Amino acid sequence: MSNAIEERIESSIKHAEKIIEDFDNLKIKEKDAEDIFKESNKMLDECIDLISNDKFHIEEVQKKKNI
Amino acid sequence: MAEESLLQAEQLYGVKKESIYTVTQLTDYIRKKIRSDNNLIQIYVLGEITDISKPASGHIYFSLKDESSLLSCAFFRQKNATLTFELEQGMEVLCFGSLTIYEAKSAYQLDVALVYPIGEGALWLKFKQTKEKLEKQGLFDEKRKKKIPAFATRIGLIASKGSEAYHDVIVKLKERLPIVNVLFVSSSMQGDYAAKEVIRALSILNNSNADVIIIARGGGSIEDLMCFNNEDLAYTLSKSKIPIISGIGHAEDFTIADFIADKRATTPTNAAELAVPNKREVIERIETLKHKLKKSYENYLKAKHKEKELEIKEKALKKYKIAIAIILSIIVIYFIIKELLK
Repeated sequence: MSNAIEERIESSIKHAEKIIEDFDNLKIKEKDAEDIFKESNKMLDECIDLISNDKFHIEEVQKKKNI
Repeated sequence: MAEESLLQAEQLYGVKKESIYTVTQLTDYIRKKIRSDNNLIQIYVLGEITDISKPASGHIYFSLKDESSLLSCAFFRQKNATLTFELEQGMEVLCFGSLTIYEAKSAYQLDVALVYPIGEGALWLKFKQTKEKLEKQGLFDEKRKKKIPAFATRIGLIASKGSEAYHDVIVKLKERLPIVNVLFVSSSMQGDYAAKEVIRALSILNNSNADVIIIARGGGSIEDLMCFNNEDLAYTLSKSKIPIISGIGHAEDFTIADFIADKRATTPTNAAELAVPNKREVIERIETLKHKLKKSYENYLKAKHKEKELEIKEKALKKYKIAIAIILSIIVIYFIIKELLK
């Protein structure tokens, strides 16, 4: 079982790892390289933002049957 | 006793020999009295075990005591063979048996036929029997345990509102991953209604979008934690669609719920640690990856730059070769024309 945040972080990490591999093996076209690097970097920054914004919340569901 | 001694006693002290008991006669008399008294046969006696001994013969000898009295007990091999638990010093028990006389010491003792544990002993026995039953049904098998998500952000929490366990879990969750949304269901965590309330809480949370459920309760005696050994609760836990972490009591406390839970935490704080990752560690992992990505991109650019330089050099070399070839051709032609003009 996974949730949206977990999926987002895991997919961004996997994406970055694939890009690193492609850069290391020179598989990326030069004209696309900068955009790909920036995009992957941005995805990782967004992941950090995603878990940095404190929004801790407690919801008491004693009476509710369905949430 | 010799007839002679009886006669002498009569002559010396004037006590008629018919009025004198021998020790055996008196002991026999008391035994008969006891055997004919329904209040002393097939009776129940409650007390705490003390002075227990288990010789190689297989018999078990002990005394039952209370605040002011002590009763010797003999639990013979044939009768104790079916005992399902270990008798121990200090254990409170209810014994069933008959009072008898041990002739060799002219002492009365309880000839024990059955022993029932009382207090902690009874609870322990109940725990053991339930555990064996559920284990046979495969409820503790590792293969049926659900995986705890690596990045849970919706945490179902069952605890007693305002309890230390509740506080510990909340503090730790907030410290580790402050983006967490806690779906809290308050429940009694000890006493007669606790098991039913926890079952109800599990049912509520199983209809929620929680990623994982924590059951949290602080330490306590076996009586306090007994509700977590409830069979109905055990079956409910085993049917949960959402992974469950049990954080009940301290590291040394084990309940049936702990065996069935998908993960057993040693304390409520540890349950929170198992439920969510540490934000700092996750950020560190991502920062490391960002650094790797940057390094990799820079290396890529350097490699591409080198590639270009090599290409330029190759082109220059090619042009140089052509120029040399042309010059050589001109020289050759010059010498040919020169020869022809001679």
